[in-house]
Amino acid sequence: MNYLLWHAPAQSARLFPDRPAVQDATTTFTHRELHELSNGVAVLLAARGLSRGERVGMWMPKQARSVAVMLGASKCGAIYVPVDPQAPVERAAFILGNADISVLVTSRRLLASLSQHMGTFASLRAIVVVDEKDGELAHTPVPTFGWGAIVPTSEPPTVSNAVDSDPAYMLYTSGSTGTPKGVVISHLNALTFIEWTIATFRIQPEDRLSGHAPLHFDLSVFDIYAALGTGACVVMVPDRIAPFPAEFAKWIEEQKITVSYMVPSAFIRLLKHGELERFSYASLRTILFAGEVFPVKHLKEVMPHFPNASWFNLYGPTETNVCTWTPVPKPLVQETELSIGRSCENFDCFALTSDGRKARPGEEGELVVRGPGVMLGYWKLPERTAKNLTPNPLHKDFTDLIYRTGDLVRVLDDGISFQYIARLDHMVKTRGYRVELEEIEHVLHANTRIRNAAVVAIPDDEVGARLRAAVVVEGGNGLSQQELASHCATKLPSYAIPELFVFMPELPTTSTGKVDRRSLAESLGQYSAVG
Amino acid sequence: MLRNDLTKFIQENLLQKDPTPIGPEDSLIDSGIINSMGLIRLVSFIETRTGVRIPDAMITPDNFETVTAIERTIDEVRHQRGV
Repeated sequence: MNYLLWHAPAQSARLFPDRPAVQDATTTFTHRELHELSNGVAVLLAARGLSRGERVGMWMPKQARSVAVMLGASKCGAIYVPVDPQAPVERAAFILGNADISVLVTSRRLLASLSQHMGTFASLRAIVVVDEKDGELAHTPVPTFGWGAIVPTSEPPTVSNAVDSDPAYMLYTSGSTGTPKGVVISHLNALTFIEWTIATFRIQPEDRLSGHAPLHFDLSVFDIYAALGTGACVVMVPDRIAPFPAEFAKWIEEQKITVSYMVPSAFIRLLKHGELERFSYASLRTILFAGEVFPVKHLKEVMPHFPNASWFNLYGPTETNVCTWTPVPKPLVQETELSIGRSCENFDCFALTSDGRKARPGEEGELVVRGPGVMLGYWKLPERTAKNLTPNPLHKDFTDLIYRTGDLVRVLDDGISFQYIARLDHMVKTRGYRVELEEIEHVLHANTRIRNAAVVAIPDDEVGARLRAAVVVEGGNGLSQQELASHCATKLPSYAIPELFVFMPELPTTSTGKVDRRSLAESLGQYSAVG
Repeated sequence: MLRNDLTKFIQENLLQKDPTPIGPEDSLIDSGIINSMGLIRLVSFIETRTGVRIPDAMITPDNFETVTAIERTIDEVRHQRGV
């Protein structure tokens, strides 16, 4: 039976032992090698007492070994927590501390940067340093191992009573209270999505899936598990190539990528700066995108560069992974934006009107999701969980939870598809990442020299939204753009740092005394774009 | 001087308060200093500071490997344009 995340990859190790499973800039593991290596990870961690339900923090550069760590943690029944390797150390330390990790897997450089924070990880029992060769190392407060301590073996340790509703991983997303929140995803949640993708996009052993998204971003769940579950290969885009569009465009061709899943802003960057006309992309057959709206004018421009590809628009928050989808018509002739499509199989998405009934064709409502793909909840945040996972008002006679996405949609004439309209709160998408404007405001307010601050998102058809801040400085002056950007950089990921800070004597307010975000957006939108 | 400006920009914008000074030959890529966002900001800074537009085909890992390489790249673009 395949009911845990690592089961299908283990099956691929039996069916396709010698086919490549994961490739990075320097290493390729076959399905058998990956299985045996991840067994080795599990044996080492189990020997350190890692048990079911405990957390394994992964703060490390994305590489083939990362996948062995994920599977190894799963084989112990543990929950892995991938953290952005480019996150500021304070943010990473917060996440690792909040997740109360028992094991930390990291790199030499990142471990060194965490030295001030080690005391905050009360449950930490072992550290694995992926770029350290030696088996046992001695210089940290808990037992520390190099990659050499991992001995591949054909048998994983046994875990009793593991069920598919156990948490498999946690992904931290921007939180409106000023700190990131952990979305807890079970094996069943993840498999519901993965099995749908494998069937729908007919992933085959011959496929080569690009691994573009970072591991803390759930697009990577498709790249990795759709490949491992079918005997295919996930080819990770090297960190050395990913930032450079012209190089990355060449890499897709050279690596004979057949299936690619990225955020629209990554495709738009390829289109604008990748010089795509140099390549034919004969191998690329399926292109998926999600995370933000793909403006049709750019989509029309980019599609002809990939003549053999079918394109699909996927939609869904981290809390449900993908829950609706639609094929992109080819050729694309419409002027209006794409719909987000209809429910994926084994997902039930519908819109609830403000008076709590199911929206009919033509009506607007909040998109809600039910089914086995919906997350278990937010880590250690019962109130927030109860706010977003609520009883289904349409099924009052038995327990049935729905996830409220906070996305306002219109039901289309077919009665089953949806058009995205807007957010119901202050969350925005920039370069495919979700950012709570309030989180940035919290960070700004934490600076004692700032009296007041508001962050607005200026809509932008290349990056989704450009973040700009209006700042009122205590005493009127004395802070520079640079100081503010540096202040934000200690707490926020780089995509969440406002590109511009505009100093104001006071923030504009509405007649009710609230910050007038509309007028701020208008005035801050007049500055020209940065980058 | 361009070298100092570049170093200062990278130090202040792309390093997260990391006190380690960057030398002209230190790799900006292997150390993760240049990621996608960092590259966008850096290219935008260079274009504003120098008035030189770097062609997309020249925005490569080799040309942005170190501060020295970036300087050389800017010189090359200037030279090609006869600026």
